[in-house]
Amino acid sequence: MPHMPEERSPPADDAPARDRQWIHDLRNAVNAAGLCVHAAEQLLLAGHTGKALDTLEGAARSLKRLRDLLATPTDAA
Amino acid sequence: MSNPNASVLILDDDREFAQAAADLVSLRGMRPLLAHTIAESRRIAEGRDIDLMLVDLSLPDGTAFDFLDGIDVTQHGQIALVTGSPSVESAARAVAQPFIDYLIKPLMPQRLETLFDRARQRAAARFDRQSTDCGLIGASPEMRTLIDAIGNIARTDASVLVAGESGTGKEVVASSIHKRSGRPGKFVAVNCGAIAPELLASQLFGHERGSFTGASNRHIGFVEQADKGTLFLDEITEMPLPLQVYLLRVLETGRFVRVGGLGEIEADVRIVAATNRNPFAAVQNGHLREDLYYRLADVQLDIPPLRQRGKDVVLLAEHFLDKLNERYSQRKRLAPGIERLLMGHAWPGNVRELRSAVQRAYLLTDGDLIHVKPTVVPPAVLGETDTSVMFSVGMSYADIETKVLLKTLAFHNNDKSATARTLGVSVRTIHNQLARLRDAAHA
Repeated sequence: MPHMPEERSPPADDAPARDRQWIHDLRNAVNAAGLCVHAAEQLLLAGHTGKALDTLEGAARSLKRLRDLLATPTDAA
Repeated sequence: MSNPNASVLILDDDREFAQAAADLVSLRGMRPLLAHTIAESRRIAEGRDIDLMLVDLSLPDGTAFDFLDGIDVTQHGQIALVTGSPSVESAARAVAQPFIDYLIKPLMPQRLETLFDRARQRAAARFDRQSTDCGLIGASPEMRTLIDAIGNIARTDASVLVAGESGTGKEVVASSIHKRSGRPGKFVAVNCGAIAPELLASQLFGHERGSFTGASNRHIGFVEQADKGTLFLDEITEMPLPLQVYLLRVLETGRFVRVGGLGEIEADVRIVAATNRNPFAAVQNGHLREDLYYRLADVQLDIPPLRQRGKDVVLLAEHFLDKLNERYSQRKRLAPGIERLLMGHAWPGNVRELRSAVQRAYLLTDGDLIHVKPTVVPPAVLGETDTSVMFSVGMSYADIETKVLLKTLAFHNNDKSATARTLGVSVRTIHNQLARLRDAAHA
């Protein structure tokens, strides 16, 4: 299931909180994408091709989250 | 090196990150435990000893600090806080808590792997303590007591009587006593109930060539084979009583004669016997000679049934799963929430039944998640032995009374006076109840 950064979004009129949330979601997405790629690499080295492909799908989902975040920039961006 | 007993809890609502971290944990031969909420993780952590917890600061149902409040942190290994919203406040608060690390996302994989290595080292030390390298798996107080007792008696010469329901692992206990005894000879296991009574003497003590029809060669019996080692006599109560007399003599003197032989042979054998009956009841019922019981039971070890071992059932299921994964080069794991089902089942066949259920589920599952389904056994059979009865919700008092009466009568070989004494009623009451049962049967 894809991550939903808007689940705990602050109220629309609280700009600083919205910025903090945006940074938080950004950090999460970068973190997930990076670790998925690292894990996929390790899985491939261990010969687990199918599992590596699943993990790369996770990386792709995380990158999609990043794209979505960058498409809705805040003052923090 | 792989250590499937090492476990790492990853509590993070970012599913991609959590799954990738779980993959890395699996690749390092450890068990990942995934949770996305505090409620889930508390269920997972309960009763377990987790070697490393990676806990996200901000979760859908609270914070990492809330999570800590609900668990016994002394029961687990290290706890690392992970956050995508670093702040001075949370860092300061983390310092005051038993967190070993405050990790800011995005994480460097090498940092994670250092934590995983530490978890594996901790697990190795913990597993040495839990299993004592003797094949017994269990963290419940009952099993800890048993394992400690094995450690205390293994290096003595004491005979041991192991009592436990079928499938509880009596031979594993006997074998572990031998492994830790330091005795140089072999561990020889004999199931007294699986050998025809008329052949048991020659199998145990050996025979000389021509000593009976068919004895074309000299046979070295199990007692001799176990010289300087350990002889495990399973189902000792199935041994014919005359042979029990002879076994007692062998135990007392350390000497025996092969069937058809003349000279006495000496053997230095440590005896571990086992029964799935209540030993005292077996003595009372005449299945086990009282003098042999006292000689065998220098030490009596009682193995608890699996249903009384709490979360050991989960540890064991994971152990069997790890063995299967190793054998078939797979990375299957127990489905989330299966712990409750495993702990809710009575496991009348004990560890043997659990092993079969895990294997069945493993072989019949295509995906990575194993749903263990215990075999459904009629409640009347569950856990009943010669000296115990089991009741289930829905039974009437009359049914319960009847079951207890009949079981007690059978225990006392239909002796109504003894039954009345045991039940604390008059003999007349017993007669009246039996008459009522007869009337009901004929009605």
